[in-house]
Amino acid sequence: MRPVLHVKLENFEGPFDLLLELARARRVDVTAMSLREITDDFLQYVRSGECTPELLGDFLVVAATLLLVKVRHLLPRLTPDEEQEVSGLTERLSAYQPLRMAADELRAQWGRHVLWSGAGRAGGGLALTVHDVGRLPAALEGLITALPRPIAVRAHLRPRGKSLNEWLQLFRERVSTLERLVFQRAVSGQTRQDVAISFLAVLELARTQQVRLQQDSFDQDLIIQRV
Amino acid sequence: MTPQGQQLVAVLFVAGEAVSRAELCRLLQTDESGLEQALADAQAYLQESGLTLVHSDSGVELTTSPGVAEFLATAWGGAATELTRAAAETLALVAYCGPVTRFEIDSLRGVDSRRILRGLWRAGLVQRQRARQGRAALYSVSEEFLKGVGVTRREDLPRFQELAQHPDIQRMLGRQTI
Repeated sequence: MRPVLHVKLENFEGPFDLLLELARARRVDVTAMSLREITDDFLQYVRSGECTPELLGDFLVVAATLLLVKVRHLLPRLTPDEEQEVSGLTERLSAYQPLRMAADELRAQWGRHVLWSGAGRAGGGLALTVHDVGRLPAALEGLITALPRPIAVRAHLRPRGKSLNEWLQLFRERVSTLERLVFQRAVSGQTRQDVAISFLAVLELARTQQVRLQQDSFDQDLIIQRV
Repeated sequence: MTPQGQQLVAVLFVAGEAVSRAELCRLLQTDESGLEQALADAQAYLQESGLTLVHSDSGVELTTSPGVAEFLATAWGGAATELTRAAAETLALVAYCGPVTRFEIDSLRGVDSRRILRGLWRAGLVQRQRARQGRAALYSVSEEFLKGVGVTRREDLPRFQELAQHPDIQRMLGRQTI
C-alpha cells in the first residue's frame, strides 16, 4: 500500500483545491481511477483538523463521495445515484481545473496595471496614499462625487383622522343617547379611512356586546342598537 | 473629432465615473448607433493620449490607459492590494462566466461562496442584480474590477474566449449547446 502523502499544511480554499493539489503531488490526472489513490490523503487532511471550520461541511461532502470511490471495487456495483455522485465529482473537478488556473493568472495580474478615474481614484478599490497635503482637495472632491445623491423628500401634510379609540368612544356615546343609529348616516361625509376605522369600532362594540348590529342585506342600512 | 465625440469625452470627464449607455444617448441626443460612432471617434482620439474608455455593464467610463499605469503607481502612489485565492477564484468565475448565480458559483468552487461574494460586492468589484420575479440574483463584474485588472472591457481578459466557452465549465453550468 502506498504511504499516505504528508500534505504541506496550508489552508486549502476548498475540497476541490485540495484534490487538485493532491493529484499534482501524486502526479496523477484527476480521473475517477486516480481519485482512489488520493482518497487516503484527502481523508488524512480532513482528520488532521487543519481545515477551516467553516469549510468543513464542504470537505465532508466530498469525503463522502471519495469513500464511495474507494469502496467501489469492493461492492458488486454502485447504485445509479452513487454512480452519478462519483461522475459528478470528476465532472466538477474538470470544470474546476481551468477555473483555478484562471484565478491564479488573475491574481498575478491584479493591481499591476491599474486604470484610474478622475480625482485620483484608483480602480479596483485600491487604496490611495496621499503623499502631500496639496492632494487632499482633489481626494476630497473625488469622495464627494462618489457620494450617493440624496433622495428628494416630499413631505405631505395629511389631516389626522380620529383613532380607533376615539371612534369607539364616539359611537358608545351616540348609541347611549340615541338608542338606535344608522351606520351609513353616522359616517356620511367621512374619508374612506375614517369610515373603515368607524366600521372596526362598531364591530368591536358588537363583539364586546355593548351594541347589537342588524342589517338585512349588504346594501341596506346597518343598524346599531343599544343593548 | 466630431462634435458628438467631443461632447462624449467632456461628459465622461465631468462625470468622473461610469455613465450608462442609455444616459449617454439621452445626453448626446442620439441613438445606439450614433453613440457607437461617437465612442469609436473618441477612442480613436484618445489612442495616443494616456487616457482610454472602459466598457462595463455600468456603462462607459473615462480612465487612464494601461500604458501609464506603472507611471501612476510610482508617481501617485497607492498601496496595491492583493487578491486572496478565494477572491481570485470567485472573481475569475464571475468575470469569465458571468452573469452567474450564487448557486452556480458554489457548484463550481465546491464551497459556500456567500461570504466572499458579500466581501467582493462591498469592495465594489462585483454587481448584483435580481434577474426576474422569483429568480436568483445574478452576479457580474463591475468597472472597478476591470480597472483593477487593467483591461478596458471584459473580453480583453486573458484567454477570454477559451475560458468563457470552456466545455467542462459550460457543462457544469448546464449551458452546453449541442
